Amino acid sequence: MKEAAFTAAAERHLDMVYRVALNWFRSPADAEDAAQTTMLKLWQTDTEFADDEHLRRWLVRVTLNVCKDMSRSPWRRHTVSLEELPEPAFSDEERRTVYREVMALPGKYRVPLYLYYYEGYSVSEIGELLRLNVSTVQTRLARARGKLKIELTEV
Amino acid sequence: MNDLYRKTFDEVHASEALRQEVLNMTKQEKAVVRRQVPRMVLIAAIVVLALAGTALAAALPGIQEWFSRQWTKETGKAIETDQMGVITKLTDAVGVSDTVDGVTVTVDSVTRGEDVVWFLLELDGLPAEEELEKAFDALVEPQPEEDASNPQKEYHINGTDITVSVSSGAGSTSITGPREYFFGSRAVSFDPAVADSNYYWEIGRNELRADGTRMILLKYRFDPLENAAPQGALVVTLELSDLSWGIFRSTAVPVAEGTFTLEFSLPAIEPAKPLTTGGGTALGEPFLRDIDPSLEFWDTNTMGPRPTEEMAFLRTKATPTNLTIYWADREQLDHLHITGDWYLIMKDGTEVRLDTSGGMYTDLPGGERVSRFLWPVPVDLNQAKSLEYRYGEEVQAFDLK
Repeated sequence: MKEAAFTAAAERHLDMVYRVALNWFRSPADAEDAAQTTMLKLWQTDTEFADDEHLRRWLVRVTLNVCKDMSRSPWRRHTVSLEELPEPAFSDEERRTVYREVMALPGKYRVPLYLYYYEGYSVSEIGELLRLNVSTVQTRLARARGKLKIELTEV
Repeated sequence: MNDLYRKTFDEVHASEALRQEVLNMTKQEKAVVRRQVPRMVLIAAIVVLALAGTALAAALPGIQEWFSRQWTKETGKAIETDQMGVITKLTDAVGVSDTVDGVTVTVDSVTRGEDVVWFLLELDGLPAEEELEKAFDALVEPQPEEDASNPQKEYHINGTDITVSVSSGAGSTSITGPREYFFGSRAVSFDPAVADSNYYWEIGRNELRADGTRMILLKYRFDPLENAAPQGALVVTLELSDLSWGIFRSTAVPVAEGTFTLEFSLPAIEPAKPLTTGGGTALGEPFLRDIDPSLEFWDTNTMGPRPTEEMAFLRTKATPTNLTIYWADREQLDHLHITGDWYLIMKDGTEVRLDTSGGMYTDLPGGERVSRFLWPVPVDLNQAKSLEYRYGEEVQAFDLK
């Protein structure tokens, strides 16, 4: 990818890449590793992107693959308690509470939840990205909503 | 409608340090291509360095002092002469400096392995810490709801817990918590190129030398390019930007805004003969757990029962700086979780535990997976007796030859 295009893509989408990885790992340090690896793959790719949506979807797919590869490492697997995880700074207590509730969910709920309610992907698109069938995605979203004490608005 | 979820994640951002690392990717890639130093210039640089080396050799590079302390911390013993000799062989004194905003950064010394470079940096011309403390305090905004009767206030800023003590007289605040010097971004290139695009940096804690000089240890870990010689003669360009003081990836005060560019040559190091455990080895079931198939890989808090299979690896290879494990069947890595730690057992009984926190993984064309980890300190393989894998009371030993 050309430098100017990469820089523009990084400015626009790095937060998204980081948030997907953060929802996967919960750990900001691991999320940053995954985000860096993903952006490096973008820099090195020859893919011609039809438009920004194509690029964005490519980044989500690659981020998920990177997270999956990192998770498979036997020495990367470790138990981290929720209390030990660093958190972002939030402007109010309510948002911090939401973040903690989301991060307390199992990973299989966090990622579809983020892709659906923040990035606006459809159930079938999420199924394709996560290699899950549609009913599994729907079930996980429903269970995630049930566990969270807030209402979630569809994008 | 309540879109609190969206508003919450609107406030989650990649750190500025990550942003700079990503934007610097393009610079690093192009820098490797640009810096094709003509061979005769490289040889001349090495000759000059060799002539200067006799004077430099009289001074013990600071990084050896650092490794000596690490050895004692890891093993509980003082470092022996032969062990220090191995570190010395891998280390070069450098002494190259650059100055930005009145601060001088010097590369004191460098230690190299097959896939790692440690840089010991010295910082001079730093502002007084009282000035930095004031600037840091000015960055901290108290949370909206505080208990006015509590003389100590707890804040949570960008992922770090900070305790603020309010002095009753002047009404000033001071902040406790780990604050150090660090560089917002780091980039290195080598000529000839030796590093793949898969790399990471680790920034060690700040240390103070006996004379009060501030030191920082940087570790650069990478996948070597095929046929590259990371321990060969190299021209190194190290670019360190945005020296700051505070909490890494969180609240910090800029100290020197700009890039320190440090270019220097390193001579070739003769690689040590590696040791290997040979073929047909495996980790037995006491060290393994089935990954619960009902959970996906991100749910790592639960492990399944012990399996009935062994986890085979073809061989291991130990060098002074790392241990490489050649796994026989990467499919096993998908459904088996390994517990425990590797130890290098020396002839005198000293034990060195492998650092598995920063593993590098490669899939070979034949389907094998290779894992590489670092010893916490370069080790003297002449003193190595065996390798052990341990979990609790369970031990599995492997001979090294």
